[in-house]
Amino acid sequence: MPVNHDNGGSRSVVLAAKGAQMTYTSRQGPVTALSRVDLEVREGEFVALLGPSGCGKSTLLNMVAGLIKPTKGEILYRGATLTGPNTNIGYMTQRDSILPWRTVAQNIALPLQIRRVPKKERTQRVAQYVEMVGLTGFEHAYPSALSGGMRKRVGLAQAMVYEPETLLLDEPFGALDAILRLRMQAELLALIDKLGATVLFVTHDMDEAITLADRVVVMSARPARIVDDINVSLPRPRNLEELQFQPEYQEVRRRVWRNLSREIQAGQKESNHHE
Amino acid sequence: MSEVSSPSRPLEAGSSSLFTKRRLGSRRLLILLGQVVVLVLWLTSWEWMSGRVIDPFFSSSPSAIANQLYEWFSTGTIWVHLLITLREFGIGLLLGGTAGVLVGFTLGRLPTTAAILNPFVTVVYSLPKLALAPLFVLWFGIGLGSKVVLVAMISFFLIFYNTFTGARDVDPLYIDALRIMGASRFTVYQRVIIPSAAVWVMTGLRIAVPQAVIGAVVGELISSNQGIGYIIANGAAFFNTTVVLAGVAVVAVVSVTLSQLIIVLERWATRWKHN
Repeated sequence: MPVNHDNGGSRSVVLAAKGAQMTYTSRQGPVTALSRVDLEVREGEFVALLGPSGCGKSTLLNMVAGLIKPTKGEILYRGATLTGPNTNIGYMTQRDSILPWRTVAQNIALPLQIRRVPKKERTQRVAQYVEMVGLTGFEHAYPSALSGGMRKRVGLAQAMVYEPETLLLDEPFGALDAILRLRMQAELLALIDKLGATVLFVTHDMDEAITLADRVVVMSARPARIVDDINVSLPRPRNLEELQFQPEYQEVRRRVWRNLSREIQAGQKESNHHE
Repeated sequence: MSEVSSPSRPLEAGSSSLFTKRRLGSRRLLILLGQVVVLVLWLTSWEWMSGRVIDPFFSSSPSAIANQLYEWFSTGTIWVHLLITLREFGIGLLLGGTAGVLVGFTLGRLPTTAAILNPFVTVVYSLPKLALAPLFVLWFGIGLGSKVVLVAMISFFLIFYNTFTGARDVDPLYIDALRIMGASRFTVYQRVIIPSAAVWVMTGLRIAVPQAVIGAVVGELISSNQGIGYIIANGAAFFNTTVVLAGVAVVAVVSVTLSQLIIVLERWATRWKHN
């Protein structure tokens, strides 16, 4: 079932950052992590935030999740300013937040339990998502017995199991090996197409950003701002293994790389300067 | 050894794990054997020296102590005293422990109140509680009451401090994750704060149990007409070294047994930590 992920103005804006800025006070004085970010994500869009490591992408995600308030500007969710935790989203954080005293199945069931989903449906959905992230046979294992990549997959299943309308994913596939990563990316795309979910996806992997997203938003080195916003009009459903050989893919990649390499160098200069 | 660790001859995973398992088993056996040897050497040299090197009036002897214990348990005269001591321990630990857990959780989540009360709590904690035992006798009489208060006071502080630390140091990442899932404050307590602090509560309990036994016995030593402490005090009053040491042996066995039970309970409660 092909889904048309156009970037047209016909779809309503789900989330928006308006001049969002984040300044921390450190011992050396104020540090700006995010400087005046303006971003709009429309219903059903898959937007990848791409930028050098440690540039403040996670800060932006935490703002959209309603966990931190911007020091200037505001975050809007469906037109309303966020004032507390955003419960319309599923959020998979970079550090895994699955509970160590709950088994894999208990962790995935937790959001359903909180939302008072009946037990029968809960069991069924947990089984479905356990299978999706390839953890069949590990349902009753505690996180301490799992590898880093497996814990990430539990986190992904936990963020998706209640099928929230918006997903925030912070480098969800960073710890996976190449084959599993490709499989999980394909699974994610299929599921998102089915649910029609809106996705804000943080990564520092350029190819991952282009293969998955409708839009790649390139961010600068600290303090982060948006450098470029590129439409990826590759048709869906995408064949992830063959996508990279298409001429249009190469074209987008060149443009992203031009921006990104400049920012990576800027980031390195910055950190050298500090040393 | 060198054959096994030699890099030129890689071992199959199966055989190497079998090897370490066997070595671990024999190590455990060696430790146990060593412990038996130390025990036998200690008891036989004590037995031999008693009457030859030291006057048994001062040191008694293992055989005399064993005889005394046999007499107590065969006639059953010791049970009344043992049960009294256990009752003081049990009621005191239950009261002090419950209060410690409740106050610990409350203050752990109220940082400002905790900061205000901090110096006062520290002062009371630093007091040698055993030195207050005579006062408790004055206030609560020579019966059960004064010992229960002493035991409760000792266990309260040990369990309170651990619970407090556990409730205070819950990883905010987990709390944020649950709030995004839509959890109420109560659910956050139930699913995150309590299980996360449970490890600390168990540690507090493990430390408190032997201290509580000491509290009950010392309370009886100071003034009582029943209990193992009374038996010891009575023996001392008549310069009966055998009775004193036999009483101490009973206390030691009770304390070690209770501690082992708590360790089993702790293992079970924190089973998610070991895989």
